[in-house]
Amino acid sequence: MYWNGPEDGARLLLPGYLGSALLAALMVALMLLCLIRARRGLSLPKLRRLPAVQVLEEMVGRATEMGRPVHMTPGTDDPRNPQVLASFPILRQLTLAAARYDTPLLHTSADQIVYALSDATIQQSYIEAGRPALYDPENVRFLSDNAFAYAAAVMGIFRRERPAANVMFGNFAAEALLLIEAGAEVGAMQLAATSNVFQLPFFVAGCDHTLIGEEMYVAAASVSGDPVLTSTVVAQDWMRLVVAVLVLAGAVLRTLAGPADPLRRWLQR
Amino acid sequence: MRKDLPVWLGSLAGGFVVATRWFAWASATGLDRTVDRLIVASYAVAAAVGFIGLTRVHLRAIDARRPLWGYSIVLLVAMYGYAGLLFFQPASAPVPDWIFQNVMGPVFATMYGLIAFFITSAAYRAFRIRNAESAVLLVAAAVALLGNSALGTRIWPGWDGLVAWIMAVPVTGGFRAIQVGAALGALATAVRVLLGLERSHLGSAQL
Repeated sequence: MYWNGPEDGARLLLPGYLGSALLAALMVALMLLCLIRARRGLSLPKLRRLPAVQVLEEMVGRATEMGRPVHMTPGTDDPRNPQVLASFPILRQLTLAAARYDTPLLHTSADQIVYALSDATIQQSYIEAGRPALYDPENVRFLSDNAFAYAAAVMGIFRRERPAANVMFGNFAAEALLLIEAGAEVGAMQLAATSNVFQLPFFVAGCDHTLIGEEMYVAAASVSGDPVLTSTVVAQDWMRLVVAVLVLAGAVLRTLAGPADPLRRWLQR
Repeated sequence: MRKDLPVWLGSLAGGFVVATRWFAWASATGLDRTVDRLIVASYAVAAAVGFIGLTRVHLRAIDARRPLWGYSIVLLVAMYGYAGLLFFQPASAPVPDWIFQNVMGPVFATMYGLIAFFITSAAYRAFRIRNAESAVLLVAAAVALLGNSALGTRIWPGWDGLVAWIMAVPVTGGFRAIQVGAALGALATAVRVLLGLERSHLGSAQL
C-alpha cells in the first residue's frame, strides 16, 4: 500500500494498520512467552495428533512395497507465501522417511527460488539421515513458473514414473484438480494441504487425506513433536481465543452501534 | 556460522520488509517502492538459476540418451530460441507476440479445458456416499446444481433462495473460519522463520 498523505511524517503507522500491528505484536509476545516456557522445560499442552500427517510414513512405505517413487510439490507460489514455507518441514520429514526406506523422492516446483530451497532441504535431509548417496539432483525438478505448463509437466511425470504417493503441500490454483486427477489415474495415495479456500473443496473431494487451512501450519510440530515448535503452536491457539473474543465483541458492538462501532473504527485507524 | 549467517540475514531482511509495509515513514520516503523493486530484481537473478538447472538436467538427458530425450532437445531449442529472440525484440513485437498467442494461448486453453472433464471424475469419487459427511456434501452439491441450472429453477423456483442461503451463511462462515485460522498460522510461520526457529528451508533442522 502506497500512501503519501500530507501527514505522512506525523504518524507512526500507515492508516488501517493499527489493528494488524497490535495483533501481530500480541502474537509475537505470546510466542516468546511459550518459547521461554518450552526452553525452561515447563509443561505445555499436548498437541492433537493430525491423522493426515501421520500417514506420511505409511505413504512412503506403500511406495516402497510397490517399488514406485513418492512425489511432492509445494504448489505454484513463491516463498513469500507462508504456505510454501510451511511445506519445507514436511519435505524434510518426507525425505528422511524416503531415505530410511531407500525409496526415490521426486520433487517438482514452479518457482526458481523454491527449487533452490527444496534442493538444499532434500540434500541436507539425506545427509541428516546418513544416506547422502541417495540424493539425486535429477529428482528435484524446476518445471515451469506457469501454473498450467507446470501441471502439464507433472501429469507427464505421473504417467511415465507412476508415483505411488503424491504429497501436495502449499498454495494451488486452477492446476490443483489437474494434479489430483493425474495422481488418481496412476493410483497414487494422495495427501493435500492448503489454506486456499477455493481449492480446498477439490482436495477434499479428490484426495485420500487433506489438511485444511491452519492444520498445514501445525503439521511440522505435529510430526516432529519438537517442544520449541509445539510452543509456537500453543501461542497460535491462545491467539485464536483472542480473535474469537474480538469477533464476538465486534458482532455485539456492530449490532448495538451500527457503522459507528467504536472497536472497528479504532482498529482501522 | 554457515548455518547462522543465512538465518541472521533472513531475519534482518524480513524485519526490514515488515517495517516498510507498516510504518508511515517508509511509504513517505519511498522505501517500500525501493523494496518492491529489489524483490523483482532478485527474482530476475533467480530466473537464471532455473535456466541453468533446466539446461543441466536436459543436457544430461540428451547425453545419456534417456527415454524421450528428443523432447529435451525441443525444450532447449524453444527456451534458448525464444530467450534469444527477446534479446533483439520486445515481447510485444509481432514475431514474439505471434509465437506467444499461437502457441502458448491454445496450449493453456487446452489445459484449462481439461479441468471441466476432471471435475466430473473428481465429483464422481467425492459424491459416493461413504459416511455422514459425504452425504451432506452430496445433498449440498445437488442443491447447488439444481439452483444454478435452468432445469432446477423450473422444477421449483425456491432452489435459488436456498442456494443463496447456503452460499451466504454456511459457506461464507466456513470460509472465514478457515481464513482466520490460516492467517494466524501464516503469521506464526512467518514469526518462526524470522526468529530462526524454523530452518528447514535453509537445509537444516529446527532449533
